[in-house]
Order: sequence, then C-alpha cells, then structure tokens
Amino acid sequence: MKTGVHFLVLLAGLLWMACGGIPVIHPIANLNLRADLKSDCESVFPRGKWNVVHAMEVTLPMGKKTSLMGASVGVAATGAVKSVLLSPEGIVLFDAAIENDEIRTHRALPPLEDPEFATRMFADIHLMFFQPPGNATEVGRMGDGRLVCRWRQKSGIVDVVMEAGGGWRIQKYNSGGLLSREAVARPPFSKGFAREMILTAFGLGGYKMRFGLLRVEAGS
Amino acid sequence: MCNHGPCVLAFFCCIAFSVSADEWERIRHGIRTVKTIDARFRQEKNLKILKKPLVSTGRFVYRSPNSVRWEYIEPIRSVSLVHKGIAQRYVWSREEGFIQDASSNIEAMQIVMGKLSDWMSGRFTRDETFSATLKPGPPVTVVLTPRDDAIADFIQRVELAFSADCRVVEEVRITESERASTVIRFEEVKLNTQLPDNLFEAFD
Repeated sequence: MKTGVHFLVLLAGLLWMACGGIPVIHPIANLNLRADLKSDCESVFPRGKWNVVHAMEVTLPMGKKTSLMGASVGVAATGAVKSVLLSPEGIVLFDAAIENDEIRTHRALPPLEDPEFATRMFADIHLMFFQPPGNATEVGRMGDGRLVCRWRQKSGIVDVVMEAGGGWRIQKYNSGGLLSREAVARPPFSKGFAREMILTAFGLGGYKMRFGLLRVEAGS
Repeated sequence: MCNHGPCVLAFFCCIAFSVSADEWERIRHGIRTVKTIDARFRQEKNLKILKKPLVSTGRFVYRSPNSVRWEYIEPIRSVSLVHKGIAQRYVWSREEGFIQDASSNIEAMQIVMGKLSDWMSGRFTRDETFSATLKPGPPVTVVLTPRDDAIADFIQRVELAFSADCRVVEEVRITESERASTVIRFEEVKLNTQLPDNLFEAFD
C-alpha cells in the first residue's frame, strides 16, 4: 500500500515535470556575454579522451532499486564510447561500444540483453557527457534568471542550464515538447566531472540514476 | 627412445594422478579442520577498457556447512547471504540503508554464492555445475570450469589457490572472458572463531 502511494506520488511528480513545456529563453544582447555563456555551456562537456568510473544507484519503475558500477571510455571528438556495467561484486553484466552510431555488444546478461537497452544507455551517456552537435542556437536567460544555452535537433531540444553554485542541468525535450531526460550535475568537480550526477528519465518506464564519481582520467 | 614414449607417458600420468589424488586428500583434510572463516578481502577487477583495475574491499564470512556472508564495503556497499539454503542480496541506498536488491543479476550471483559454500566445504568433485581439476602448485590450485554453456557465458573459469597447509583459499581468480577478470585476495584471515547466526540472517 505504502509502495503504491509512493509510486503514485512519484508518477504525479514526474508527469508534472515532464508536462512543464519548453521554457522561453530571453536572449542576451551583449555579444561578449553571449560568447562567454556559450563557452561556459560547452565547458560542461568533457574534452579529449576520458575514462570514468561511477557507482550508480538505480531506481527502476515502481520504485525498485539496485546498485551498479559503470565504467566508460569516451572520445569527445568522435562520440565513440565503450561502456561496461558491473554488479557491485564486479560481475560484468553489460559490455558494449558505440562508434559512428553503430553499437557493438560484447556481453549483455539478462535483463539487459534487449538491444533497445544499449541504444537508450548510449543516448543517456551522450546526453550527459557529449556536447550536442553543432552550435547552440539560442543563449540567454530563463524566466527565473538562470543562464541557458539551447541546441535544437531533429529529435528535439537540449538545454544546458547553469545552476547557482557551479552546477548545471541538462534537459532534453522530445519533438513533442515534453521533457524526456534531465541530468543534474552538482559540485564539486574532478577533472570536469561532477562528483554526483542524477539522471532522470521521464515518462512511462521512467527511471532515476544517481552517479557517484569513483575515478576519472580525462584530457588525454 | 621413441619406443619407450608410451611407457614414459604412462609413468608421468601415474605420478600426476598420485600427486593429484594426494593433493585432493590434503585439501579435503585441511578444509575439514576449518569450521568458520572470517576474513577481509581485496578485489581487483581488470577490464579491457580500463588501464587500471577497479579495486573493491569487503569482508567474507563462512560457517560450515553452508552459511556465507559476502560483503562489499568499498566502493559500493552490498551484502550477499546464504543461510539455511536461501540466498539473499542487499544493496545500500543512501535514503533507506540496506534494501533487498531488485535486479535480476542476482541470478548470476546466486550461482556463484551457492557454489562458494560448496567450495569452502571442499565439495569440488561430483559437481553438476563445474568440473574441477587440480594444479599441484605451489600454491595448490583448484580450477573450476563450467559444465553448462549458460554459465560459461559469464564465467569461463574459477581458480582457487590454497594456503600452504591447504586449509583455506588465499586467492580466487575468476576469468569471465578475455575482456574481464577478477582477482580476490583474502587478508586478516581468522579461523574457527565463534560466528553468530545473525551474521548470516536476512535484514529486517
């Protein structure tokens, strides 16, 4: 019963957030400020080749929880990523790579064997750690004063919102204008990676993942 | 010389067999003297995609005949328990403390956990899941290879290296694939101490 109530509250909250619509951006007129903001927005994404290890707390649909370790190696210039998901005991549950939009899966133990899982996982990794292709099309302030850069893509919109205190928020809206993903990065940072990131996937089958930074090597 | 080849081969086979039989008996005898194990462990996980291994630490507790507590403390807290024939697994949640793990990866863990208590009790042979062979060493090492293809999909080989007196496993090597392997070394090993039931019982 208690779980049911929690689920309904969670669902209502997620629906409310997801249905909030695309926020209006009030453009910044000053060219220097615009350039600085663009640079700040782009700096949230790691450069060069990096490898990172996270402890992940996953909240699945219906509120069920599990823990994982995730190791990823990424190349900013190409978008190539190799990722391994491990159980807390270190058993490799999932091992795959993406390069030129082609996914190669080396291992996928149940329930991660559905190819759709790999597609979604790499989409989440790209959202969190890779600058969207092209330049930000809009930069400015949101209604509440936060600075934001927006990338418009065929599949929707990606906003990078700069938060007070040095963190940031990446929000992805689908082509229907609904918030589908949100990644929140909180300071402190190590080599450009947040010590803690929270990814929320909205909608049916939504989930939440808390990424605790365990190790990072970046900039090589 | 060539004519003696088969005889020489047979001779070495006999020696190997007798050494092997002796070593099996040494292991079984050594293990029989151990009723409980309480040890710390350090695990190194080697992944092809990473230059440096992932290091985990924890505590391993065993009580004969088949109670096991396999606890990871760093970097992710989790506890796997086997007691009275039931395997359970808990993960740490910042908001709720230890909670029962919801994921299906417990299936893979249950196989390993179920086997751990067998192996700690010296039950290597007549195993339907893994076939056991022995490397005389030192260290004396039992090599376990899955008989079932479904298990071979995630574990190719487990090697248990025994202490010089063959009483306890000092090191476990798990080869999952050419892309991933694990080495677990036990430290601060205490044998035959009193271990209460609640160490192995399900969390409330």
